[in-house]
Amino acid sequence: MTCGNNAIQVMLPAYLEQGLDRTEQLRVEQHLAACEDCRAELSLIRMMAEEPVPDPGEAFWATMPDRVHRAVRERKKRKNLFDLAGLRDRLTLTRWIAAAATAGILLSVSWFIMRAPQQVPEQALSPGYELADETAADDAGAVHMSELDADELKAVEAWAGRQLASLSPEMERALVNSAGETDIYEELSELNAKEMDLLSNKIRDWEREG
Amino acid sequence: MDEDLDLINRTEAGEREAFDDLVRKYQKPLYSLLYRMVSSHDDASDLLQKTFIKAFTGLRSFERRASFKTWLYQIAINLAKNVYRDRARVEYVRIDDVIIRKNPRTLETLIHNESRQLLRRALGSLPEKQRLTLLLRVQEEKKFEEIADIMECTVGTSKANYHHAVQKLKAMLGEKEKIQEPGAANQENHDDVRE
Repeated sequence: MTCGNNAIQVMLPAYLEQGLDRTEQLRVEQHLAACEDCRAELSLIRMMAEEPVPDPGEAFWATMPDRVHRAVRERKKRKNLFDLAGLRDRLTLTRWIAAAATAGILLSVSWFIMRAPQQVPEQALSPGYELADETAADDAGAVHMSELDADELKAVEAWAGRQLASLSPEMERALVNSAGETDIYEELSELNAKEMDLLSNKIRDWEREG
Repeated sequence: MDEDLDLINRTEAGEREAFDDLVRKYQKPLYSLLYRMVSSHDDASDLLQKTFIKAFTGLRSFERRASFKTWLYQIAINLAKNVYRDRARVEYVRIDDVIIRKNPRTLETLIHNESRQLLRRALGSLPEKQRLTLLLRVQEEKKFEEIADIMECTVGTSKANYHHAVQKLKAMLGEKEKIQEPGAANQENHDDVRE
């Protein structure tokens, strides 16, 4: 039968340790005399309490303080090394960031220098502009419309608009028809610099011819 | 307590020997607790050292109004929990598997039949808080008030954990008696034959 006397049961360890006052001790003893379940519980507790713990020996106890201090020193050493490694990493990272930033600036400057003549289409189409020069300079340097940024595209569109406005209605129709039914601006956006130049020259020729 | 505070103050002032005294004072009870938690000298020894390292390096975080001993026990228990959990996963035994092969008539007989291994396994299957509470109360002879401080719970909770732990153990071990009753024994034998 299971005993439900919690008050007695929580006192059993103290009873075993002889930590109860006289009244409590008598109360527990009286209960134990009548309750098999609590006697079994007391035996269980006694068995757990008597569970042996090995003694590692005097040398183990005597050297523990030294081992602790040695371990603390080693930890500190490792921590310092880690901190230094972290500092070195941070410095390395800083150097890489600086190098990357420098490379970025150089690339940007190079890009502006290379693109400068094409950024303003009207300048590119100035009388002194020689298509042959560009071809000779670098064929791979041709810029596709899709590579231009918003400002550059606006400039191209403005130029194209002005050029188209100057065309006669027939020519405009012919141009549009030659490009199918597609929007002229879409077509223009597909042209690279060389093709734009050819188109520009053609328009100029048409203008000269009246 | 005053002695501990004095040693702590001296340790913080850079007196290494003061901390050595604290180590000497608490190493045995802590080792006993840790060994009972992890059941291995190597692990208990390693955890003991780690407990003192953590106490030494974290001494500034120790609140002087609390008991240094309780603080040390908290550190030790927290460190041991991981090892204990790993072990519990490995050694976890279902209650049904804790079968007594002998034929004890009572729980008392069972205990006196030196089935310590069985008891350890049953203890291992208890929920962590209940097992720790039982260990602290019965094996470390801590009062419920101290257990409450160490486990950071109320005295009522520590008593409840203790009570549940003991009841579960009794149920686990008591079940075996029922299994071994004549009818049950026959059934078991019958199962054996079938196998």
